[in-house]
Amino acid sequence: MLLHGGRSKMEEQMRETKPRWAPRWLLLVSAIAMILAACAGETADTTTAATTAETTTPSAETTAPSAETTAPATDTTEAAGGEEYQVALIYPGTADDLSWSNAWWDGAAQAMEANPNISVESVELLNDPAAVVQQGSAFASEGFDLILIAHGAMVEPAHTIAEQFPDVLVCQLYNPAEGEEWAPNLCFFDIAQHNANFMAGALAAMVSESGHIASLNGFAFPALTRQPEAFNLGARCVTPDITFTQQYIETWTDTGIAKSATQAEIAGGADVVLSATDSAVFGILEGAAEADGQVWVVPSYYESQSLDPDHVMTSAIHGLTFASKSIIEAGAAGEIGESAFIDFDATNDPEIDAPLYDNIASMLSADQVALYEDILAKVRSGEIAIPDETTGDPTIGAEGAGAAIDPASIGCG
Amino acid sequence: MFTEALVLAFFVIGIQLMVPIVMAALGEAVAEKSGVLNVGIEGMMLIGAFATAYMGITRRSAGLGILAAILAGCVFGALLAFLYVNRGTDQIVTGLMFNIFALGLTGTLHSLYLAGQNGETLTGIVIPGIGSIPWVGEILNKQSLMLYLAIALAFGVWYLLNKTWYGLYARAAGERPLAAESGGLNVLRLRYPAVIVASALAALGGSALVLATSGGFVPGMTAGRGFIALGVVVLAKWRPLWIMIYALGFGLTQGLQFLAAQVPALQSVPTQFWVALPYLVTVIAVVFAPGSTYPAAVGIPYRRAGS
Repeated sequence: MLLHGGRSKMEEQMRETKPRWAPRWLLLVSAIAMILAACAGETADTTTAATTAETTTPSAETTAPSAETTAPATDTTEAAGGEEYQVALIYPGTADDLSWSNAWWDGAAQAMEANPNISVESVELLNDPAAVVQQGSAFASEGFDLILIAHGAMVEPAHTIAEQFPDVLVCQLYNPAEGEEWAPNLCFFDIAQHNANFMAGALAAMVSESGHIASLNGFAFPALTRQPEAFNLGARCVTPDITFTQQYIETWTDTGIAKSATQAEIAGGADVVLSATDSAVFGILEGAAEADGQVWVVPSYYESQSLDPDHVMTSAIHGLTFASKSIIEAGAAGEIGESAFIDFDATNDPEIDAPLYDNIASMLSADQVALYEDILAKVRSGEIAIPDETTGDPTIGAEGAGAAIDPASIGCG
Repeated sequence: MFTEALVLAFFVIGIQLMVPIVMAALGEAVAEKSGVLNVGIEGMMLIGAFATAYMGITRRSAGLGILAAILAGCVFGALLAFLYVNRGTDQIVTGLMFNIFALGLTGTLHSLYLAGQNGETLTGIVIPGIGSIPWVGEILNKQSLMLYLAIALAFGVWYLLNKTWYGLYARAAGERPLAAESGGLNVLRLRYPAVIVASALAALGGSALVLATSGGFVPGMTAGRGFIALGVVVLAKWRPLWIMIYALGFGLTQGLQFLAAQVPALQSVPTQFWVALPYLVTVIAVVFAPGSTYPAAVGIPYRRAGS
């Protein structure tokens, strides 16, 4: 009986019951939440900066090392003496994620600490190109001097913002091809992150007992693809016939997916897993921790041994903090020229490293430790010339490219 | 090619991926049966995940984490119920706004209190008897308490909806609210607990996600599982026990991408195909699922005659 009301009449009455009260105050609450979220970066400023001062090595240089950066500055990039130099830093994670974005924020915090006239506001969790354009344009229209986009997949948004705001300096992570041209107020920078992955790969080959190492990667684009490829190449520098498998898990943050991918790699025989993703590394560590045997993880971007000393083999530290500080300070000093390209690699970024932790060193023979130190020295001196996604023959910007390179041809052995 | 270890890992992974979706979908089934389309389950999962991580980190207790998730789900569920039921807001808009609210709120709280910290996790438990069965035991021994909780909840929700007076009345409110009202029922009072229970279950889904990984919280870590749960509910035609089966199907399909990476013959297939496959299958299944008709009054705000 209850279920047999007159349908047409009921529907009519239901239509009459459409909401008379629009969810305006829900919008308000959401707006407050969004503002709180936006403030989160600032809230994290103090804590992160305080931690950074203790845990990171102060950089010896304060300007970006590339020759291009010392070109005469344009009016658009130079802050007048004593005036505040405002920087908007855009990244995909959060300022305290112990990963990519954390490293960038640490550099910004160091720059602010060393230069009172520099102020940096960060925008977190931006992975949508349209959102990057929106946020970057908003900061630019508010008079910010530098829009620093620490996200490798935002080249087009960077072009768009630079074209819309020719008086604002926009710097984007990107390694341009030979002969490529771009706007005068657009600066590209590249950090040879894969140099650290190469180092970590060499160490992984020494530590792996199964002779099978793996990499779990966020998304496939050249600036990221080179990281697992360099990891493989570094491993083959030590053990040419090592087995290497990799997966693109299409996420930076999904710990559940990352754990599942790790379990699959372990089931396939891997006992060292590189994390070429972001906060999802926590899932990789959990997968390693739940494994029946010893499995090691190589987190990227940030010094991460404290996350899980029993499973972190080394950290592929990409030198992002140094780069962040250098770019911001160079911008404030007016040292970034028109259409500049700033290049960081292991030869000029002292933070690029894959540290040999004591517990790992104790597992290696003296010869292995010496070999590892020799490889690090050769990478830092440029004697081992690691290709990237634009240089080298072949380059390592495509999946599987690292396996096609003879390690001896780049200076190994 | 397909080694025993790989096949076992495939099922272990599929079941792990299933658990949070089952919990969220069970809650959604309760809400929709009562006539409320709760699109906000993604946000509710985030809130549950945060609550669990918070208690796991600060109190070092997974149990308290589960309870905190349920409590948080109830509190925010009451807020949603107030909006959906009392205020009669558009349920899709409100749900979507709630998801944005939850993302911002949990992201902010994470930055303030939990950044870079890991909490308690639940490891696999061995069920006497079952644990020693070849293959089955090896797969189930890797599963945590949350799997068994999800199964128990599926039966519990089935019982609630089909064998209790509340289930009967709630379904009436979801199909013919005016008729139910004419029969002396208070539709608003029936929908209120349904939304709260749904929210608590969705929060429990977020809790399961945290407890199965690092015990820590990552902003946005639910990664669309709430929306998948919405699809699973439709596929299962709001039947709790079928929700488990469809969620398992989704988990196994999702697990294929990890298996494919280990099998040389499948490595030539683009990764994106495997990643998209479970979503593709879900969408196709929802479109072509025969007889998947929403409860008649779902999504339509109800106001009592004369109010």
